[in-house]
Amino acid sequence: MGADIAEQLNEETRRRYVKGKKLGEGTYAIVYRGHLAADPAQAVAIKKIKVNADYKDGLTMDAIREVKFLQELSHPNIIAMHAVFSSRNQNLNLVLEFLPLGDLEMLIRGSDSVAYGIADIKAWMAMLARAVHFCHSRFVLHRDIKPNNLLIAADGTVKLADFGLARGFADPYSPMTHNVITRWYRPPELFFRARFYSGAVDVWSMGCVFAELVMRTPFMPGNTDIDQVSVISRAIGTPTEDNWPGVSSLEGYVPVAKDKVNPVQGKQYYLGLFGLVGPLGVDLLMSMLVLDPRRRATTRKVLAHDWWRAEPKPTKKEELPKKGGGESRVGEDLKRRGGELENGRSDKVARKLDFGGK
Amino acid sequence: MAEDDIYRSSTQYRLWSFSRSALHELRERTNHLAAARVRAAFPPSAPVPDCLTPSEELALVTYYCKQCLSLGSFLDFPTGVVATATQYLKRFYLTNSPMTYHPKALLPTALFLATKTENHHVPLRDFARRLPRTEPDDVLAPEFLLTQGLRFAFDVRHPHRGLKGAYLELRALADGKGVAPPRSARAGASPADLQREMRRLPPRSTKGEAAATATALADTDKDRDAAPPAALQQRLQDAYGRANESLRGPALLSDAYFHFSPAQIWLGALWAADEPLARFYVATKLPAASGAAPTRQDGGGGGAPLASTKRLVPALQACADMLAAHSDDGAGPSSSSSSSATAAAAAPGARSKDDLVRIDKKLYQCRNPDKLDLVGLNRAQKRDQAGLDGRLDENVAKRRRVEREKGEKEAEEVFGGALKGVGNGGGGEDAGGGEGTTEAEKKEMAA
Ligand SMILES: Nc1ncnc2c1ncn2[C@@H]1O[C@H](COP(=O)(O)OP(=O)(O)O)[C@@H](O)[C@H]1O
Repeated sequence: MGADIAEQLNEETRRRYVKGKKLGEGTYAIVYRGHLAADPAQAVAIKKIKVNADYKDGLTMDAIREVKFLQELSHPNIIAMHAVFSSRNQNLNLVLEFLPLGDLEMLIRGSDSVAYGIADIKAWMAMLARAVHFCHSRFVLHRDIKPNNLLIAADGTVKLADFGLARGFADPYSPMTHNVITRWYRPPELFFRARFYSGAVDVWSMGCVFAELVMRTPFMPGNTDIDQVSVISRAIGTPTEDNWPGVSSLEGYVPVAKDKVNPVQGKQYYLGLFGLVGPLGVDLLMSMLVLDPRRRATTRKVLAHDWWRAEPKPTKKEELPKKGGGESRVGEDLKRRGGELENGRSDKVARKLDFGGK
Repeated sequence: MAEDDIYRSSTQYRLWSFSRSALHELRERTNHLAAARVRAAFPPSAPVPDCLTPSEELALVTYYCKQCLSLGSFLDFPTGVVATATQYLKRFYLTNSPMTYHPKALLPTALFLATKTENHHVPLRDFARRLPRTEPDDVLAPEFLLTQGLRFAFDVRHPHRGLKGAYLELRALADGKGVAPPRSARAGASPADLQREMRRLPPRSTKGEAAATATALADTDKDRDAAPPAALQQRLQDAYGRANESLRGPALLSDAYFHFSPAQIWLGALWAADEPLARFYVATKLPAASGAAPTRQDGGGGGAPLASTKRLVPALQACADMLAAHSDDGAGPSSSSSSSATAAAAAPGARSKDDLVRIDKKLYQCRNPDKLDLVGLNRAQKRDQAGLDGRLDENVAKRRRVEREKGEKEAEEVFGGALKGVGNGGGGEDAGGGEGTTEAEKKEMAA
């Protein structure tokens, strides 16, 4: 007996791929290696969404968001989703491009440290900036930019991945949740529980990644949400009405006694920490880490910055330093990240609490 | 179709845009397959069921889309959620038949999925509690089926925001604060010129005067009195109101989303609401004829994928006709006053209530008995049970009888008092008379 057309289409898609061995496991998915049935040389990654027994509302928001946005976004610096299919027992499978060289976090802090320089950072940051600009031009916020969501293709291209927290922001009157973005990369307005925000939240995260690439350690590693606000105040400056008009009317804003206010750090301070990237690079970094989201750089401004054209030129992607090994590293990476969770990094806090939507 | 890159890369364009003939064929194929499955699922001894025709299926789906709109406003959901849910239903039923999955069962699921995809997630329990006789399981059981039918494309692009943008631009033009971009037909006109021109626009035509308006517009308006500012503002507001209405109803119920880009839909709605105004707006945006096709760069409007007036106008006219044909949809027997043949053909949902009751009754005779218990099917499939089909087969006959009886009762509930007027509560095998039968017969012969 023939199946419905919808079923047939799904079946055709499923048959186009062969699932291989397990590559890794994340919070809400298991990732397998796979290839095209017709051509074993064409590798893919198959991300099988786990059934979440605690979630009583059907398909999870993570899965919905990831599928929804990856279906619409096609860009060289965003992980490509080739297809989606369901298996017989109703598991959702995302066929993604295979990205065998780990992620930026592994390059930044890998056990056998990879040497890289300013030109490499410039190349990686440019790819990140293009990816985020593309998202924003399509009215999509990523809301979880961090080094381990920046995967690396076999040819060295950086690809923004993990759209499980993304959302559209075309409607400026629709409130959003403030509980997004992994803590160390989360901008101050979200700690103050802003409900109306913009692409500036992602730009802050980009700034944090930039700083981390230079320092090779997270720039603002807070231990708790409250601690994170003080870390930001120390690292960048205390948000006040002076440097951020309107901040005190945000719901979660806590006034700071005058004598406790840290002035916004000047260029000298940044040059001291990030002088490696030169005055132009520092200028770009500072523009991404402006406290007031309205004065923070947009991705358009970021891309127009002179730093990209200044010496040294960004490294060609084929010449970018790579973490050798590929697949065997994936396992290490998972172990390492598990450890970090114990150290209080709580990577997934935002995601877990975000089921309420908005 | 659309010129715009962003729209072109969307799933709405890639997976869910069709020519009229392709859409028609797809519905025929879906109906055909489903009917064959229904027949195969009935035991040979039973009388061959009289299956729904594609147009009957469409009428039923359109009816449930309308129910979706009512349910959405009853639940006080944002426009975006409700609009998306209706498109989910319309998309789902391009490759699935109501004979296999009753739209009544899919409606809450579509609405619930839309709350999740449109950032308005309502906890399932609360959602189910607010619906009559609905358990959380009833809502979730078809979710997977629905996502598969949607080909895992959850994004739906709507015209509502674009219309709002255009309205704001038109208001600025009326206030003498608007400009027309360099390559548009009105490039070079000063804000004051544009305002003057706008005040002298011919009055909007009522139906049947469209041709006259077009000529009137051609030999411009030197003699016409300028409308006072307040009157112009009122006119804008009225046009916006009417266009908005058609985006909230006809645009969602018709096949507009399958044939037109969001920009074409809102412009089509504006066209239907006030054609001279829409023509003027288009002239301030686009070159009269393409040639040097401009890339879109206007900030407002919502990114209309338009090339030139010349190419756009026929699409807008067609879209406006389609919306008009659906504008009185549901208000009893179709009273379509449109003279256009395309418009009449594009109003398949305009069925009388009696006719819908007849179709719904007919459906209860030809539902695929294997797919009645969605909750049970879903549970079984999740457990990945192999022996599923056999087990169901044993129950088919009994289940079918029970469902038939239950079906009649449910139809009564869904369509309320209307059933009483129809009489003939027995609803025998020959329930489908007239057009339905002939179409079914044609299909039989073709098979
Ligand atoms: N496209 C891919 N190509 C190769 N490996 C991948 C790909 N996506 C994910 N992986 C591997 O599978 C693991 C789990 O993926 P994911 O669920 O996205 O991780 P997480 O939840 O940790 O971000 C990742 O740590 C990575 O090693």
